[in-house]
Amino acid sequence: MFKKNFKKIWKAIVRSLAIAFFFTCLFITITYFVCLKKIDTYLVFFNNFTFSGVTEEHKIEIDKLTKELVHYPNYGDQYGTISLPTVGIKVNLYHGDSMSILKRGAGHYAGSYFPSEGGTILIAAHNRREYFKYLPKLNVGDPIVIDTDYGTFTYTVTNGRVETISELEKLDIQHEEEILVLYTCYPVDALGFTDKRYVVYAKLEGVAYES
Amino acid sequence: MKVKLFFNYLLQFCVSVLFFLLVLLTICRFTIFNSNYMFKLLEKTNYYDTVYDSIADEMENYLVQSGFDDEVIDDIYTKDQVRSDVNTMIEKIYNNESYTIETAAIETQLQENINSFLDEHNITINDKTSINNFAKEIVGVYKSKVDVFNKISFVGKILNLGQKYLFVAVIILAILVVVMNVILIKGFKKNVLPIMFFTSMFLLLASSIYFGNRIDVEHINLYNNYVSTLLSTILKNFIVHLRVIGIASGIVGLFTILVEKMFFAKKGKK
Repeated sequence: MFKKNFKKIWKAIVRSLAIAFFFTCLFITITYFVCLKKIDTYLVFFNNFTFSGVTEEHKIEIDKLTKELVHYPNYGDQYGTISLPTVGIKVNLYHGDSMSILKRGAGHYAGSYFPSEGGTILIAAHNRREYFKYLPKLNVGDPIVIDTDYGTFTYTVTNGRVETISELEKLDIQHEEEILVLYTCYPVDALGFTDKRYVVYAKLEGVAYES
Repeated sequence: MKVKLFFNYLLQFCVSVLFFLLVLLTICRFTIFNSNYMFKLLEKTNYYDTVYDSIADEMENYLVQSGFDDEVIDDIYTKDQVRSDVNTMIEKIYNNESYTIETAAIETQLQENINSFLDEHNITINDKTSINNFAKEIVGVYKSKVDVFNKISFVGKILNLGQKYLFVAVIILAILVVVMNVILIKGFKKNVLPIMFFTSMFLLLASSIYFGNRIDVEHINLYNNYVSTLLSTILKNFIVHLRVIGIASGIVGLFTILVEKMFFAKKGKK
């Protein structure tokens, strides 16, 4: 009796599963032809909009012939140090200039060129004692040294002046001559946020590439 | 006879698909389109604490360049305030209402702290423009960290419409499924309910596999880490719900076969 019932139950389960599986395949086929491409497009768009990706860590490298960078550092990574020997300051130099980066040291504006690329290099730091507070004390002819994994770059100050934020925003990021531009908030001992910046311009004086 | 059989199978296919849609919409209605579910997820992902810490970190970034001490931003906002503002924001989004985060209390406390700092250090400021700029940025940090969803206002419209109309859609689908099942059981009498449940099981499991493979849930990055974690959790939970209810649907299908064969078979014999 139980065997008979079990056979009937088993037959009913297999029959129902088979028909259900057939219905599933039929529905998926209809959906595929009617709207799966649309759903796929929306999912691809969603993934592109939200995918973070995994950033690989890589060492910054330079092509020895063209002197152009082969690998760039990831945004937020430290790639060197910047020294102002005249005022005895050495600051860590990071790729990027977000608020969290500037809290840690000097930030290199990602839209400008890197040392050795022959263009405008724009670097900012807060007006703290250990960062760029003494930037206004630099005079024409004073050295600035940027030390990286791929070489050491020495610049000479050519100019230093107070500019507004809007004037600084008009800075030409050119690729004809290697110019280093450092800036910090001004007055350096002001409280709160000012709309002025102290800007130092320097030209490339010497390079020593890493062997 | 063959036409009748074809019609019955066609009706069976339609009722199975409708049932699958009914289950899918019900899952959506009680999860993504339900503000209470969202509040539970915010607790589960420690959203409030993360926002609170994130605000503190960002304010510190601004403090570093201001010349002020840490005490200036002490106690200008609390965890309860963050929780209340986030909950209000979520509620307004689901109701598709406009809202603004109230920051008057933060501004007042911040000004008091700044004045205390100035008095403590015997500093007299004639032109308070730079200090006012600083205060404005600090208040802006609180607003921007709490009010992230303002940038995607169309989400509120979708959530609000979903809340209103999904319930109606679920009711209509449920009625259709019941009516069609009655017609089928009277006319067809062969494993109508089990087929419906098993089809739903296969479709729900297929959906969970499809979305699980097509959406990179682990590497979602939207605005910041806490919104990304929240979105990732919503999607993971949705896929898990599809899977669990799919399996439950299969078990119910098996159960209906057992009931049909054992209970109704006995009744038939009597």
